[in-house]
Amino acid sequence: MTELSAHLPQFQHGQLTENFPDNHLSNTNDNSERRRHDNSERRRNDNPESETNGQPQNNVQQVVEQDEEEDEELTLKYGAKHVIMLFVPVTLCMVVVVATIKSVSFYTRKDGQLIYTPFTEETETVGQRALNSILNAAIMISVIIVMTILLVVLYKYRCYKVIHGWLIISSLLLLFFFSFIYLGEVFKTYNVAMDYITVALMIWNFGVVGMICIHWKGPLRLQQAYLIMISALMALVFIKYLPEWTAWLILAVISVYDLVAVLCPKGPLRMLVETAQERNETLFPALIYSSTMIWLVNMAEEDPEAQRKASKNSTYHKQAPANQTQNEDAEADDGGFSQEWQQQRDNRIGPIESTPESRAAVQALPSNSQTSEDPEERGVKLGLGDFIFYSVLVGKASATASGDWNTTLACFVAILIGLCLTLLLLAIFKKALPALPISITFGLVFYFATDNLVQPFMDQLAFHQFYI
Amino acid sequence: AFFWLVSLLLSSLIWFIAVKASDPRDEPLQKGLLIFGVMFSVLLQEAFRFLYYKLLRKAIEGLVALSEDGCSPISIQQMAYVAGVGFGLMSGAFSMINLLADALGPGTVGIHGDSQLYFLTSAFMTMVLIFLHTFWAILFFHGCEHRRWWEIMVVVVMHLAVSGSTFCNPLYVGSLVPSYLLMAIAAAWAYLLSGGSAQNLRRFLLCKS
Repeated sequence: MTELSAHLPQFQHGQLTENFPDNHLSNTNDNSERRRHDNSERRRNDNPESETNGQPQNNVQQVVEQDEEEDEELTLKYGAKHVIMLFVPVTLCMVVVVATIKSVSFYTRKDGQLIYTPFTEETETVGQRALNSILNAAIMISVIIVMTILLVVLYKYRCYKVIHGWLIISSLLLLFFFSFIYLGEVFKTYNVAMDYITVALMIWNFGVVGMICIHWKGPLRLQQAYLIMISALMALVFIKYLPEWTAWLILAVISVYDLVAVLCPKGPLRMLVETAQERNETLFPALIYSSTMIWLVNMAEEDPEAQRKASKNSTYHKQAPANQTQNEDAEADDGGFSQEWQQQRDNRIGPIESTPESRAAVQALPSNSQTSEDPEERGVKLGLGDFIFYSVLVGKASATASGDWNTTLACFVAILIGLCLTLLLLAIFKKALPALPISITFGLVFYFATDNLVQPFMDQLAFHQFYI
Repeated sequence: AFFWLVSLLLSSLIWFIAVKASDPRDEPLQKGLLIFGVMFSVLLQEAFRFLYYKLLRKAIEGLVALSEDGCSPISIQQMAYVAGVGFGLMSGAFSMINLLADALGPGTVGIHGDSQLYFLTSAFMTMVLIFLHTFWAILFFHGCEHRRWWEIMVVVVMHLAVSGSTFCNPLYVGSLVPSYLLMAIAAAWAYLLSGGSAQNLRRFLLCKS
C-alpha cells in the first residue's frame, strides 16, 4: 500500500507548518493480497470440479497454472481501468493546485521559509545559492527519514494509539487551519466580503465532515474528495514555503529516497508494508488514497461476533481464512487452517473436526455462497504523498516557469505517463512499488527541457505564426 | 501526446543548439534557422508517429495473445484514431494555450502594424492542424499496416506542405486556404480507408437505419 508517514506540527515564524516526512509507495499490497485471496478463492472453486484437495498433483498444477493465466489476463484488462481510476484524482489535485497558484497570489509571494529549510536563497553568488539549497534539501530529507523510521518503529512496537493520535492531530491541522488560511486568501483575491461567523460555520462543517470521512466511515467519493483537497492544501504550502532550487532538489532526492525506501530489503517503507502484511492489517486510511471500498467478506462468517474478535485496527470485515499469507502449503494436514483460526472458529461455531473427509464434503457442495469481491471492485491505492509531490512539481512549474502554460502542460503529461508506467510495472511485479521516481524524473526532465529549450522555439514560432 | 511532446523536445533542442551556435543579430539567418527548425520538427514528428505505431503494434500483439477469443479488444484503426487525436491535441494545446492566456489580459491586437486577425487565424490554423493530425495518423497507420509506403510518403509530404504554407503568414490566404483543402482531402481519404462510403454517409445523414 502506499503509505505516507504522518506529519508533526511545528511552529515557525508564527505560523503552524507541517512536516511531511515521506513518500509514498505505490500500490497495493492489498491488491496483491486480494489477488492472492482471489487465487485461493478460485482454487476453492476449482476444487469442486476437480473434487477436493486430496486429488493427484497434476490437477492442482493445472489449477494453479490456469489461475496464473486468468490472473494475468484480468490484470491487464483491469489495468487500464486502474490507470484511469488514478488519473482522475491526480489530475484533479493538480488542476486545483494550478488554478490556485494562477489566481491567488498569496501562494507565490515569498513570506519566509520553513524551519526545515533554514538557509536562504537570496545570496550574492550562484555558488552560495547552490550550496544553501543543497544544505536545505539535506536537512529536509533527513527530517523525512527520521520521521519515517519513527513511524516504522512505532508501528512495529504496536504503539497504535500514538500513531493514531499523530495522524488525527495532523489532519485536524490540515482540515481546519490550512483550509481557513486558504479560504481567507481566496476571499481576498476575489474581494468577497465575509464575516467571521459564516467562515467559522463553514470551516467547522468542512473540518468535522472531513475528519469523519477520512478517519472513520463515509461515502467513498466524499472521502476521495477530502483526500484530494488535503493533498492540494499541503502541496500549496510546500510551493509557498520552499525556495526554488531547494524545491527541485528536494523533489529529485525524494524520488531517490522513495526508490530506496521501498525496494531495499531494509528500507523503512518496505518493512512497514511487510509488517502490515504479516499482521494482515491495512495501513492507515488517512494516508492512502484508495479508489474503491474493499470488502473481504468470507462465505463462512456472517455473525457480528467476529467483529469483536477482529483487531480494532481493521476497518472492514476480515476473517482469518481470508488470508493465506502464512499457510501457502495446501498440502499441510490441517488443511491450511492456522491454529488461531481454528480456535476462533471453535469458539464461534463449536468444535468441529476438520478432517479430510469433512473438507471433501464441504468442497463438494456447490459454491454458490462464494462471495469473492467483484473483480470490478478491485481498486488500486496511491499514497497521499505521491499526490502532494506531483502537485508540487506541477504547481512550481506553473508558478515559476517562463514558458508558463506550455511548461505546466508538459509536466502534467510527463507525470501522467510516469504514473502509467508505474502502474504497468505494478501489474507485472505485483508488489508495492514506489510511485515517485519515474513520474518525478519525467516531470523534472520535461520541466527543465521545456522551460529552456522548447519555450524560445515556440515563442519564435508564435511570433512568426509558423506552425509545426 | 507524450510522443509528440518528446519529438517537440528533441526538435527544439536541435534548433536551440543551432541558434546558439549562430549569430543572433542576423535576421534572415535566424529566420532561415527557424524554417530549418520547423522542417526538422515535422520530420521528427513523423518519425515519432512511426515509433508510436511500432509500440502500438507490440501492444496489440500482447492483447491478442492474452485475450480469450484471439482478437484484441481494440483494433489498430481505433488506436490510430486515438494516436492522431493525442498528437493533434498536444500540438494544438502547445500552439494555442499561451495565446489564450494572453488573450485574457489587456491589450490591442495588431497595434504595432501586425495583422489584426492574429487570434482568429491562429485559432483556425490550430483547428485545422488538430484535424489533420487525426487524419494523418489514420492514413499513416493504414499505410504501415498494409505496407503501402507511398501512403506514408504522402502523409509526410502533406505535413511538410502545411507547415510550409504557414511560412507565408501573415498572408493568410496562402496558408489557411491550402490547409483547409488538404484537410478536406485527408478527411475524405481517411473516411474511405476506415470503411466509409458515400452510401454510408447518405444513410447516416438521412437517419436511415
